[in-house]
Amino acid sequence: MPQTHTFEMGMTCGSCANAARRVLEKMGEGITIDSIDVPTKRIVVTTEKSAEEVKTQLEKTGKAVSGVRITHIESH
Amino acid sequence: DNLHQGKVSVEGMTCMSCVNHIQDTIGAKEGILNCTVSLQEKTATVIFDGSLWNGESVAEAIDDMGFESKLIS
Repeated sequence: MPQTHTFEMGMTCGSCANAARRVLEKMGEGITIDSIDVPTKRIVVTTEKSAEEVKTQLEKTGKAVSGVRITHIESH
Repeated sequence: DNLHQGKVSVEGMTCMSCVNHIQDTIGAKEGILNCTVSLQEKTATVIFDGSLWNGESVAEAIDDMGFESKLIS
């Protein structure tokens, strides 16, 4: 079942956030972008995919990405 | 040597930090000799080793970073 993951990524401006959104959208179905917040550099997604998989995808933007924690498990 | 120059469109850039970021990231890839990004023109001119890259793959590399990119010439 889907889990919510929070990542921290070195975003400096709005287009960095868009780049993160685009690479996540390339992952296709099975992932929901809950929030992308530049000031706090936080990206929150809910997905059945592994945190590692999402982190690897985010790293394609060339930015440093760190997994913060699995905040809570949602049951749909 | 087998050097080619390709020009690709780059959408979604808003500031110089994006320009530098793309130039550094693409420029650091093996077989890429130079990557010059123009914020005004929304393009990137890339000099690459033809045996490792072609225009399409360069555009794809930039697109993979999250900036929509298509081959121009």
